[in-house]
Amino acid sequence: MTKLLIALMISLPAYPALASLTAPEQALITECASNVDLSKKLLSPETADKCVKGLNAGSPTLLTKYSQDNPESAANMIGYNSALLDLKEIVVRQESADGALALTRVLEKSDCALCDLQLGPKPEQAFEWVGKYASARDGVFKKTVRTWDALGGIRTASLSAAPYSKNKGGWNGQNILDRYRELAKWAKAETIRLEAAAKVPGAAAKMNIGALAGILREDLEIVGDSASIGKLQAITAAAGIREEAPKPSTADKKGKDLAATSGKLSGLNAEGRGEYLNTAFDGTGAFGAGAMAAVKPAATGSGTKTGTATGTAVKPITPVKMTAAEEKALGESMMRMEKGKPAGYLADVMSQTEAGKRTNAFYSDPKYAKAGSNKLAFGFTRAEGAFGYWDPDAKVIRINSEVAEEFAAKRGMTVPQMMKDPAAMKALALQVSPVMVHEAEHQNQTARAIAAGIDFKKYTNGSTDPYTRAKENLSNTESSKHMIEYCSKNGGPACWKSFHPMHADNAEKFMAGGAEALDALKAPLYPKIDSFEGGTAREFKSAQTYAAQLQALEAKARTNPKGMTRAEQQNLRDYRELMDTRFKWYTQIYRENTANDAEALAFRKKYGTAASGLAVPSL
Amino acid sequence: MSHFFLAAALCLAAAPAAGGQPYTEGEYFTMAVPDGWTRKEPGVGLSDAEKKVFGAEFFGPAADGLAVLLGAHYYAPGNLLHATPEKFIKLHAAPAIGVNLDGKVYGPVKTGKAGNYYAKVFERKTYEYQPKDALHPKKIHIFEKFYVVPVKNGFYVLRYYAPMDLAKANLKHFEAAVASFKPLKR
Repeated sequence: MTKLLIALMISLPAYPALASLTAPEQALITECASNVDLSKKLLSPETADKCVKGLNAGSPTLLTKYSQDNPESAANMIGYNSALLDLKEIVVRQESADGALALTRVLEKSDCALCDLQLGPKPEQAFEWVGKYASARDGVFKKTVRTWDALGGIRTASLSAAPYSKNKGGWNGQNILDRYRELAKWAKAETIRLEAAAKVPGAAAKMNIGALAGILREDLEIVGDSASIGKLQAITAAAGIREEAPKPSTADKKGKDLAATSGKLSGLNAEGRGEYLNTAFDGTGAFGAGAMAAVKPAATGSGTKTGTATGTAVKPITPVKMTAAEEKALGESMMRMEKGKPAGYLADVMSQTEAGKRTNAFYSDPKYAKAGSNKLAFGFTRAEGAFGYWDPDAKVIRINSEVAEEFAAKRGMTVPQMMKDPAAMKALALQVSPVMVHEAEHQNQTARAIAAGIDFKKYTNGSTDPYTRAKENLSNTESSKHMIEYCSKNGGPACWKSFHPMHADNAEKFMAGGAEALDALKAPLYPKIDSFEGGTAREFKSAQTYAAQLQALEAKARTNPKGMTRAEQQNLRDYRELMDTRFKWYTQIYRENTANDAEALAFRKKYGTAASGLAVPSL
Repeated sequence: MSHFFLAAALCLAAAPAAGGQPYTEGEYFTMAVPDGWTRKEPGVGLSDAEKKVFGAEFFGPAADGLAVLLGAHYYAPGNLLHATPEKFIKLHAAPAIGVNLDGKVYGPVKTGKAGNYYAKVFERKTYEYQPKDALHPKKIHIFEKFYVVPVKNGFYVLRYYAPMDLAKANLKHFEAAVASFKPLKR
């Protein structure tokens, strides 16, 4: 860069590097900076979307170019605009307990970018923004965050009085989840009081028990206080008020997280599903039981009660827990390294698809071996509620032992008995294979991050890049591709019964709409995980100090290089590396997801599926 | 559930079915979006121009962590997702993997109209699983309705997606939007 150009850059008032950009690029930079400039009071999600796309355009991207001389401005620009997109998604698509969890994640955890935009940490700070950019969701948002003014007169009257003595200021000063917990405590106490009061002769007639019970139930259901709900039901029944039985699919059922209790979310009974579907809209012509001829549901792999390869009916047994030694033996039988390559039932299944081969090949890949990031550490373990996971700290992939125990039990066997049955073992491997492909892709993501030097999330023993839904998109894409290819080669429709319906559903969404379909509608079902935009906001907020220091040191390096101390020169190198890592991570993941989207669509074109009786064309 | 709470819930779940807000998606279509439904900006991935699929999604009330959705999209010739409207229909009016697992319900494909334009119309009842990747997830029942409008160049899809608890109450808003639909690429 010439001295003349350097002098010219320094003379520009606000953005010294703008002179090296084209006019449209300069205009976009200015627009994106203005959008998150608090003095201008814009914070438009629509502009933010335009900015995120525009900053990621080109090669090198506009963000990469701009960040070279303006790391702080660039970091704030991409971080804050991404934060606005993330908030808009949460406001528009989530409410009640899920919305509360998501808003807690983005407003109350450390590194809150929205807080810099004065949209948090208290949700009340976002009310004006919601009113401006998602006005239709204004009331819902206020109810979701349980702000005092949205609690309703019955609650606030009671909470204001003894023994609660709450007020608006104190109430709204609480964290979002604390508000829900306080309401649950209040509802529990009021249920007891209502129970006592209702027993007083003549008192029931003077109280609006129905109205009260409804409000109390709402607060109790959130945390799954079934004991208090039972009391309420008894109270209303005694008062002659008919309470509707809880429906299988009602709002506010995310109590597991809020109450830190387990087992509240339970699967629906298999026999009840079809009946519910056919009667959900009784009385309405469009939805009556006869309006849609239900395609006869196929028996599912995980739900079938006949399990042997020959079709002989066996009596299922109660699942028998494995010992630690049995878990180890099963894990090795499924997947182990032999002569530098994966072997075992699971490896065999995966060798039959391109996605599976990629998984097997990853564990033999010499470029990751040096870093030790592709070591196979696979096994079964107790993992309550989960199917499986990749732990980047412990560096292990684990499948829940219950998966194998339940699988064996449906076939009338314990796991040690099943291990003597090759057909059953192969079937288990097949059912587990999408999970293995999914979790191995997570391990592969970690390995790629380490190789690229973007593994700046450090744990006790391991490291990785930030965990966002972008990682889940890639893993779900790989596992979907695996299932689709496997079944296209192995019997078509009948093959799909080998997989858990939830996994097959992923593949179905993928075939219908590509990788975007996997994320677009499922996103709200991951309320505890940052979206990619949310993760971007968090990471650049976290790196703000580095960015500010870097920008200051670079300015000094330009204007007075000889005046820099040795420590300042070292800091300049260190901060530059830190910020380059963040920008590299961001650009790499953005591109990876865009490429994944394109590859997914190409894969769909290649693979149609054979159908029996249902015409599904190749693409 | 008390009358009080039910009334409040109904007010929350079903926005007034008024004329709706006029919406124009570039050179592709116009429609009236239901009052109270909010547009969400698209996320990471291929751009509309790269996919050659143009449109928008509007979200209404939510239940079970899922919001009611109205999607309106134009699939240009040569788009990356669905070569023809027939292929779109076959992938959505029947199981895309060729087998119906878990008791989903697919309705017949009928003829209808979106605005003044001929459309193929069908419904289905499917699921979302929650929590994701759990051993025993809860199944959230979903109702969907599609209007597929073939035009000379490409085709349009109007889509309704709703958790079953909210599907009936909000369907009329979707139908009103469909009735107001006007394709600009014909």
